[in-house]
Amino acid sequence: MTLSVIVVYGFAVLATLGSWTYFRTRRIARPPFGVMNLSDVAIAMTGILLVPFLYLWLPLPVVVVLVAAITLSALQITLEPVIRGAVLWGLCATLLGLDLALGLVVSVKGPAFLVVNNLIVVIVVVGVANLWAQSGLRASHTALFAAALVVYDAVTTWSFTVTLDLFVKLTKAPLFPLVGWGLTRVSTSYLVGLGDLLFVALFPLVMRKAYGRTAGLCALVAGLAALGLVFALVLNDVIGHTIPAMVFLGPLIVAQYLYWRLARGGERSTRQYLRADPLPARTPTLVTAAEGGEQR
Amino acid sequence: MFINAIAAARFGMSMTLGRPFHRRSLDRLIEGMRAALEEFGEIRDDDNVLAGAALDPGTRRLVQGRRLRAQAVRALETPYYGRLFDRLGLDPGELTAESIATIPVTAKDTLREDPSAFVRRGGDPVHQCGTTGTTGRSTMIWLSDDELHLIASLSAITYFQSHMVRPDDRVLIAVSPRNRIAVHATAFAATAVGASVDVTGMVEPEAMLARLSAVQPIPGHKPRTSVLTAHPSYLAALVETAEALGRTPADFGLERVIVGGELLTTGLRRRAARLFGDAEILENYALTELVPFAAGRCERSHYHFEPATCLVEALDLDDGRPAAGGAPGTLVGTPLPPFRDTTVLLRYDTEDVVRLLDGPADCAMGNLPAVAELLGKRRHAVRHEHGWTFARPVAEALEALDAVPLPARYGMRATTGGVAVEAVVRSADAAARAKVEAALADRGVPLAGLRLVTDPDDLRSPLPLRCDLREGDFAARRALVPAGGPRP
Ligand SMILES: [Zn+2]
Repeated sequence: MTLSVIVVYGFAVLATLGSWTYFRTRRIARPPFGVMNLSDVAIAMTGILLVPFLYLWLPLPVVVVLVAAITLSALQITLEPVIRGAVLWGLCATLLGLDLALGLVVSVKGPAFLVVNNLIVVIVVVGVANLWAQSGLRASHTALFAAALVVYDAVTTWSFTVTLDLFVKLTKAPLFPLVGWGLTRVSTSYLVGLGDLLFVALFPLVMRKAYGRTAGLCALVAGLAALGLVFALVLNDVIGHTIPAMVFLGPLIVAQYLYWRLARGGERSTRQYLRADPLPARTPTLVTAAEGGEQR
Repeated sequence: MFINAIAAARFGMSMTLGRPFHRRSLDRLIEGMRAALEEFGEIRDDDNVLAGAALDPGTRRLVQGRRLRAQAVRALETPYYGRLFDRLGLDPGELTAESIATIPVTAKDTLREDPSAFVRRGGDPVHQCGTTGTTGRSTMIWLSDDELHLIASLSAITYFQSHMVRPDDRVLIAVSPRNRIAVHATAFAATAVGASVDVTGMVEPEAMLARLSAVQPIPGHKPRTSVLTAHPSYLAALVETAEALGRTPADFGLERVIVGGELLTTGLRRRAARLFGDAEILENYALTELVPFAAGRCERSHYHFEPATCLVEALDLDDGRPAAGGAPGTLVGTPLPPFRDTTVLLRYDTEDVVRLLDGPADCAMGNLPAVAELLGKRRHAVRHEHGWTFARPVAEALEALDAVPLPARYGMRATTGGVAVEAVVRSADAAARAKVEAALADRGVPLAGLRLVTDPDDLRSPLPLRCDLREGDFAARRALVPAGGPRP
């Protein structure tokens, strides 16, 4: 159990720090239609929340094909600014192929599969967090949505046993949207959902944009600390095994947002953020594209 | 973003299928672009929702043929075309882009006489929109509210994508307020981008110059007018007056001047640039009857137009057949669905003469159809023993000369041996005469008589200029008519 928690926490740290570094060094291809707003988060989050149910309702082969297609495009979009050309496609196909092969042929509970699947989930989290943050998602919208998810998570996890049921059923097919370890035995198994990880990784980025480096780092440290605390409590049997992590993360996100809102006032737009903190020179395309001719 | 993507998809669907545009989707597209501009400070090229329309010539002909047929079938619901098709025994359902010539050209006068004869029975005509009518009386068309909104929305999308107007700009609309579509679309589009708008019409040049120089700090915008939209002749009148008053670029904050509706000459461009410093002069071509058809200029000075909105032909001035490459032709346009469904016009004769390109356009906008040059109104052109002479070379020759006050005021008529030209100059002396003769000869005008005057009222039949459609005000009237009667 201890090892499982440490491994899962390690992947969470990887996703969070990866997103943070990516945000300042890579330019993800943002969709061309306007700005990421509250309704987009709602739609996207609904999608993330519905994916587990897809695993339950649809025949397994259909789910695998569907999720494989989504995963492939997510990997491709995320890694495109990092690796280019044939290597990119090769890597994406290899990751996906390994996940499917190990999951279907060997076991979705084996360590080899879990390393690959956890890695894919980490890349997807980095990609989605950056896609949203770089598409202009506001801190206020993120906070509002976190608050809504607290309610949803609390209700579904504590009032119903949806989450636990899902976790059990989800881990029957490959490409599941969870980071986990030690799944061969119930007593050692530990899992955390993509949605929770996404908020831990995403919030520092939108705070970095909205209120600067300090606010971003505070959000990063607070998110990882909260996640660590939840894991520690689970490990020491202080709280139950199935924890709605958003119940801990959500209030922290809302509180931070309110603090900075009161301390600094309105948040910055992407343009104001990039003008104040230009990206490092090795990503010149971003600065020139965003600043037009006004770059100094 | 998601909602905007759906709106963009609906927009594309309307374009592809020729179905009416969904009004709320247009609003969402504009809201999305505004949000993106505020957030990122830019609109990227791949945000171009209109870009999907770039087709290869073969496919374009096919699509245009289908749209033309759809529009011709709709035209049956108008009194004019219903009678016409009946009389000719024409089945609009059989039309193709190639057989379009079987429909007779619709003359400007026919539309002017009875605009309601071109309104579809199923249409919803609520806006009557006119031209300023430099070729005589004003020509009117009826539009539905959705059409007017579409036209304004398309202008807004163009502004977002071309950066012609930016959020901190202050836009001054100095075209005649009677030009309702232009004023409405420009004001709507500029405010959609976030700019401030001032509609003045063509007030006295002194008053306008004072307005352009005035510093009025307002939040979020530049302190002075930064974008001026005007007709070339009014711009010319401003340049002339400003030079007389000794104004310099430092007196103005203009960054862009958007002109259209008349010929813009190289001479005027040069003299305006001298007055307004680095202000960019952007020229477009559009006309009320074919709205939202419009043409913009590329880096090689061609006029390129978006083929989705209108099927364009250029017809030989003498025999009415398609004009040859490099030759002049009258622009004839058929607005296509889904852009127009209230006033339906088929093969509408604009009376604007253009020169066709000699070959394919080798420029940045080469994928869009183009003409080489606007030559002027056909009814102002002169047919003489050597061929045709258009207003363009005469205007170019005159406005290039400092001896000619701006805007160039002139008239022309056929005479034995070529064209007789009359023009206003600063002083009708031998030096001016020599300069004007040389300039006209340089531009290939077969001059067979030149009459120079210093008072515009002495011209016998001057070409009309839009700048003469001035907006009056009491102060100007008092200045012009001082106590004790008119000034000498
Ligand atoms: Zn061109």
